[in-house]
Amino acid sequence: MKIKFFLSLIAFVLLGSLTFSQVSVVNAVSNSLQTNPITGPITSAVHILKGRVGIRIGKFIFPAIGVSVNATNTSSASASVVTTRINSQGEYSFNLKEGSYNVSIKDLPHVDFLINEKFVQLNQDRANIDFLGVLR
Amino acid sequence: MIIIYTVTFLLFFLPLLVLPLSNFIFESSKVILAEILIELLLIFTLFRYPLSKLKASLIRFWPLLGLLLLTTADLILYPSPTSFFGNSFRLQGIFLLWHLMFFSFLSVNIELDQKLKLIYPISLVALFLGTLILGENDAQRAIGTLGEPNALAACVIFIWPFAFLIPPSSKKVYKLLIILISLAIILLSGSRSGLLAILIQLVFIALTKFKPQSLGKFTLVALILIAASLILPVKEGGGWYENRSEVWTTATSAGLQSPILGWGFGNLEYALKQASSLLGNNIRYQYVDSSHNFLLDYWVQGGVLGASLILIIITLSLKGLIKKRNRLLISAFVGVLTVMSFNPVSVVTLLAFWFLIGQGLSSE
Repeated sequence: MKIKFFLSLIAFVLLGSLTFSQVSVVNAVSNSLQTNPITGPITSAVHILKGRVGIRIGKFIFPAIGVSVNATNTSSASASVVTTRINSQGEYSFNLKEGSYNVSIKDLPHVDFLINEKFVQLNQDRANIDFLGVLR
Repeated sequence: MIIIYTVTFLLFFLPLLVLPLSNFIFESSKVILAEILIELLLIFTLFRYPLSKLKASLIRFWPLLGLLLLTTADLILYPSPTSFFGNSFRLQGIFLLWHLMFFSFLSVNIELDQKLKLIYPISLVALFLGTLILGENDAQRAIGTLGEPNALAACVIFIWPFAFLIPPSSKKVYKLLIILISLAIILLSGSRSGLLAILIQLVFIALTKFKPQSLGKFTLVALILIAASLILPVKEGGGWYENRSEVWTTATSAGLQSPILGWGFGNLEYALKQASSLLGNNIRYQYVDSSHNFLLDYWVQGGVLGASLILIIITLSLKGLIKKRNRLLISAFVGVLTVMSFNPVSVVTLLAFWFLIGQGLSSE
């Protein structure tokens, strides 16, 4: 019985040490991210334009779902359209090339948007543009 | 009793663990604590039970043995810096998979529904409070004590059927509250897969209440619903980051490059990166360490062999649960399978998944 207990203890100490060694794995990666010099910007082929469409009712802002958002490139005039997602948050997102864009949204049957069109210069990885509507 | 308490802690209270240590706030601390507790369980079981009894149980777990052999072979054939421990964000390498399989094996004779009825609603309410307290991520989605919205929703999907179907109170308002709290967490997390999972679970629970004798048929209906719902992300298209249809296509293609044995467990991120470069899609610009579907994860990492083994394990387990007419565990299983079909999951959901497998594979 004593031998069994002793062997179990050794096995646990060995396994436990191996398990805790993961702490150094996590720390090593995290430290390298913190201490390595950044030699250049992280480039990405795509730029993300995202945001939310909401409707204000009283003091509350509710997500607007299924609303079409347009992004038109000001130089090439190429247009992209997405619809706010059905995830209860009224989110939309575009995958676009670098450039300047007019982002627009159309009024809904019973909703007026305070600002229908916004301009964005997309030269960083992400940009965020929200739209807010009010009930007529 | 030690085994029951440990398993209960792992399933219902580990999700609440949040450490105020910079690199270990959410996931890594949960993984390490889970592994330590599973090791303790293993040592305790080996110390307590006669080997002959364990050997008899092992026969029922033959697909798990197959997976154990496959992952061991992977360590020799396809070693990489992430094979054994996984990447530093999730720590979901072969080491964790071995622990989970042992956890599955060790929790065979646990009957949670007979004990501690208050545990489940307490866990759910604590998760809700954590969701309110810990705020949101950049996308304004609640992260709760899990640190990630979809992981939070997945955790609720496992816990709520226990709180709902093993009520400590017979009042109808209690059941209503459980549903409302669960829905509130899922809506705050903005997890569509979570919402889908709870809907499928509610349909399953409602159907089996009115016609309990058709448990097997309704399980099949739930599985068909899960399979049908896989079309949703493909239909949706678009999306800028970790777009599911794009990740799924990349994963399918990665698996086809090494169809028999896969790329080796723990090597998913390399496989996806290489396949995305060949396909020329957006994944090559992102760090993606999961196929966002558990079956594809096994397909990429273990090839036909790995995917077949996990399918056999799930099928045998579900059959076992149907045979035992365990409506609670099947509803939890159906929910967990749904969320695992769309998202990478936390160690918390992996524990739930392997626990359910163990329950299904056990003989009693």
